[in-house]
Amino acid sequence: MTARSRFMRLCASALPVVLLAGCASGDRLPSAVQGSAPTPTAAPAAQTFTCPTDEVEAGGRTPKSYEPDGPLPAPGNLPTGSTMAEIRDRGALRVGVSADTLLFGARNPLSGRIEGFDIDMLKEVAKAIFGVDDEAAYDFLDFVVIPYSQRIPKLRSGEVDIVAHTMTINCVRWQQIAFSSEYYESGQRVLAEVTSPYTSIDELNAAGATVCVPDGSTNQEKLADFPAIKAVALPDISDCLVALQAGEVQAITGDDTVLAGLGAQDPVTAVVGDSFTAEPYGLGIAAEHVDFVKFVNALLEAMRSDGSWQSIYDRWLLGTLGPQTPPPARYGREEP
Amino acid sequence: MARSVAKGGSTPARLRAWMVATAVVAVLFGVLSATGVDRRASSLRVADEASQQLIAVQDVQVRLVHADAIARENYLRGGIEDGAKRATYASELAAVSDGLVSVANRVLPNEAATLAGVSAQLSRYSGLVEQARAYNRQGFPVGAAYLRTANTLSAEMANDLQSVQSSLRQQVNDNLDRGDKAGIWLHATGWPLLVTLAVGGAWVAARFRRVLNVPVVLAGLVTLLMLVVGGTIQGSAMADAERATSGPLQAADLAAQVRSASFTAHAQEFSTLIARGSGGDDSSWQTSISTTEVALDRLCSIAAECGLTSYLANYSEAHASVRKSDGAGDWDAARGSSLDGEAALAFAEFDVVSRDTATTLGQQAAAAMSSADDGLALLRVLSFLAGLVVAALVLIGYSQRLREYR
Repeated sequence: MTARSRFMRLCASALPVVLLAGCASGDRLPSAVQGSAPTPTAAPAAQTFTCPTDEVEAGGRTPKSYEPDGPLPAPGNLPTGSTMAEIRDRGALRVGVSADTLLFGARNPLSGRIEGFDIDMLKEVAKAIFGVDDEAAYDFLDFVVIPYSQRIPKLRSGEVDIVAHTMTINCVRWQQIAFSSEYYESGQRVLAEVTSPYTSIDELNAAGATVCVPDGSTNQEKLADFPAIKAVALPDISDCLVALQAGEVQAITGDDTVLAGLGAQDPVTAVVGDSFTAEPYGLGIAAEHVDFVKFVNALLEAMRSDGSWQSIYDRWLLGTLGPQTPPPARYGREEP
Repeated sequence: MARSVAKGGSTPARLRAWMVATAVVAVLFGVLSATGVDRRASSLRVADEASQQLIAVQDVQVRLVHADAIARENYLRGGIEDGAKRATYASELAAVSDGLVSVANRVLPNEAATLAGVSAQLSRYSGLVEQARAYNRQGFPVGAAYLRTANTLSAEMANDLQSVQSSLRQQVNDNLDRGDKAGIWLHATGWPLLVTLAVGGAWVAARFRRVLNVPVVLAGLVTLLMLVVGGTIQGSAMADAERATSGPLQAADLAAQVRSASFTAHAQEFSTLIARGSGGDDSSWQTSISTTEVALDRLCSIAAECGLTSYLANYSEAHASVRKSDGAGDWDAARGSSLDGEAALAFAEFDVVSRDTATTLGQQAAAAMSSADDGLALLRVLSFLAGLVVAALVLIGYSQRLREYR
């Protein structure tokens, strides 16, 4: 290759670079990538449930449940073809529970087990079906930890046999599922620091205090009766304890059961004042499993009389909520 | 002009005026082309600095989300934490703190203010994690609320860091544009100068009946040489910067995004298991994994780094198994897989390979970006000198003709 041809080749190769040197533009470094969110499944059309006139009982009393057909059958004598026999044959009771409601249903981080008043209630059901002792009963529980909003859907879809999840019995819910008789009587109260000048919801209202409440809860709806209170709604009631400890709110309101769990985690707080609502807790069961509801009601009858309810209460709640006796059952609901 | 030239007596004045004008254009060529080269060099240097800051801020973000994932993992373990993991958490958080200070000193005031805000939030974040840990060790579920608050704060900090990254990406792009436009000065002054020399040379040749005025011809050759060589060097520098940006830098950028999004997904897996009662929703994990997959696809197409895809697929499969177990009520199996089982191992493998990939690509990007402006410093001097040389040759060449009138 001659010097001239080398020069020509260099010029030829350089020319595009020379000419294009001022042409490029646009974003050489694109923006950060963004993945796509999963398509949300269409929510089922909202159903509106209203209480029939004869279901709305005066004084906010607990709606009735199904009366047991007789005494609790022995585990080996469960009626053939019954829901209980089906569960026994399956070998596990599928239970819908909370894992973060201390004292009722919360995971013990050291043992990994879910523990609490509600869990012990379910263990009693497992004992009655499988005929096992208290320790073994835990292994017959198939836990499905669910949020509040999934309690009724999980029952209706058949994913769980029973729900023990600080669940209030009310007429509207009875339109969708069935309940056992009342196994615990709760009520909405107030949690405040022990040095707080406020000892009731009325005092908080009079002072125009700032009170934290779980967002979207019935507790939040009830606060509307106390218009001077500045409500701070947070996603979870344990977020309210964080806010109380940070001094962002002066008190928390919620079911006394849940407040007891919060109080147990912070010794400088206390549940104060009287209940200003009635929250009768029941074990949720699918509406079509009337036999199972009667079975559980017979079990609860036995627990009320043989002291096992009291023993469970004393173990979990006596220290925080003081002495209490088992609430009486109300029967008389007609079978569908 | 033709009439004045024809008059003879006005020719020296016209020639002198042409000579001065050409010399001025030559000097302008030297000054403006040198300025253009300087601007291009400066823009490429700033783009390089912005790219380094981008990689540094991404490193901070990756370490932050990694630390947050470890905080959640250790919480899920309950009171008994993994010591090695805790040490990694502490070192990642320390690196975040150091990184924020280091980068804040090099970025523009707006970004520095954002980074200072992140720095301030970092101490609050670590305090919340400590509180969560303390409650968790006592078996109190309120620890989960503290951890959630910390996680939210971590996500806010990550968002702030992403806004800084967006700004830095824009700075890289803007400076490449600026550098690109600066190349016009060489041509905007060089070609008119060449035309001026050609017209002047032709007129002098016709007027004085000489074929060549050697100094003026030399001036034209020097100008042409500068246009070709200078244009080539400038264009080459710009092309190098473009290639470095759209190649290694973009690859490093994507690799960091892969790391960040995958750690975010991993952290969400732990959170879902911690929450249990309210964590069945896996959509956040799916969104983060989708981001990881999109970034991996791009990385695969621009840098042929496709090996990570299979590692991510393995982890995604293991995660699906975690969700299946949890959804079926076997939380212990799900937790076991996530902490020490199949899902943990699959993610660990992905982590190791993605870290090596990101490190290698980061180094390649830094080297490629920093070498893009090589040669421009010399070209700047040469451009200026060329202008002076052309001016001098013009003065010499036309002066020879002017002397013929004496």
